[in-house]
Amino acid sequence: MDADRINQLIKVMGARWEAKDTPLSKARIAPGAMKYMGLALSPGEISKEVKLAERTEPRAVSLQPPPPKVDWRNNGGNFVTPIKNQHECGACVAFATCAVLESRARIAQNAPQMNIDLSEAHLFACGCGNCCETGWVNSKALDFARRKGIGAEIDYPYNTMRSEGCKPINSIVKVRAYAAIETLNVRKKVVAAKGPVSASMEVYEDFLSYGRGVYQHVTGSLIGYHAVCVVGYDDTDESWIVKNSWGREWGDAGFFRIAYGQCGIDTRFAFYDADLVGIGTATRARTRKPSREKELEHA
Amino acid sequence: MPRRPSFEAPAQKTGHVGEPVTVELKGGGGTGYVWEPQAPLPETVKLDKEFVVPDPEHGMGGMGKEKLTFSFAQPGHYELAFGFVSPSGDQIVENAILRFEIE
Repeated sequence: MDADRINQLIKVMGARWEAKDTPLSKARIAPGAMKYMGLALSPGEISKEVKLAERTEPRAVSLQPPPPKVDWRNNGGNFVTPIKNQHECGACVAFATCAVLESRARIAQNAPQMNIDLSEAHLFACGCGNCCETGWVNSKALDFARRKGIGAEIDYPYNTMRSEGCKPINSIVKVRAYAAIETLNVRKKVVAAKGPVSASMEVYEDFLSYGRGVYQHVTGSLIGYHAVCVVGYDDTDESWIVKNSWGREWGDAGFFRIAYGQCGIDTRFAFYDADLVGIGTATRARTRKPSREKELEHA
Repeated sequence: MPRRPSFEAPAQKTGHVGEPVTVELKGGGGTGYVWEPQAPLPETVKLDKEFVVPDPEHGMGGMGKEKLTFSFAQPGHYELAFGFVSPSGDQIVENAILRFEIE
């Protein structure tokens, strides 16, 4: 979509974000030639997530109200690992889950510089199978991480996933327990007290042109659903701070902010909290960074 | 990057001036990949895009379909180049030439 047109609509609607042209969009699309229509199949209620939240949502993360702002990229250090790129495979759930667990490992060790890089390919190909076209489910990814654990990227790089299928590798982290979180206040408390969480949202066409600011949907059709990693929030502008998996070239160096309640992020989908337990069988650590193995053993 | 799935370009479509002609391609869904024309469309060609989005209960990130419905103001043979473009707009991972014979 044309960023100028989106920015006009943003201004008219009083939204607080800025669209940017992509390297190719401006040159290719003639204004007025394309009309955008939506044909979203009516999605069912996410009843399973609600039921899971009723059973598992942490009741007392803290009795204190959550702080007005948290950003784990700058919270006594950067606890958020680098932006990755899922490319044209619906593996967002694996990327969001690994992003959460990588951050949780850094937080558990209070080691913002910890070099941890989990294998999305291991999680996705072994946990879901050949699922690039169908996508996956956050709770199932966390359940796989609880039962089997997740290995290191160096042992099973994402760019070999299509050719290798499920490649069994040693796990370097495991999830002890996970929980679905529904209510806004508990979400903030969990993010503030424990760290990043996985979330889901609707994706509209204008989101592809996001440049910076607090995103809210202003134009274009629903194109799909997407799992992401929430790394913070800011009550001043009432937004979640989110790590995406579309590469650093997209958005605000790969990150974005989205207004509370936008795109179903708070109303349709649960956030997922996960507690980690480390296991010390990392081939990654053996081959390259032996000191990290000890860090992970105690994570 | 994952291996690209093979893509079979749709066969040539026929139609009449002013009537809609629809081509269905795989969608990008939550990957943010969408089909875009590789050059501005001729002024005689109008395009409506529709997205068929899979129910999220079956999975986040599912691809779905993109439906491109064209209408042509003049008869003739048309070849329209489309690319499957990354959300950051810096990569085209697949190409499709859509051919139309319009009477």
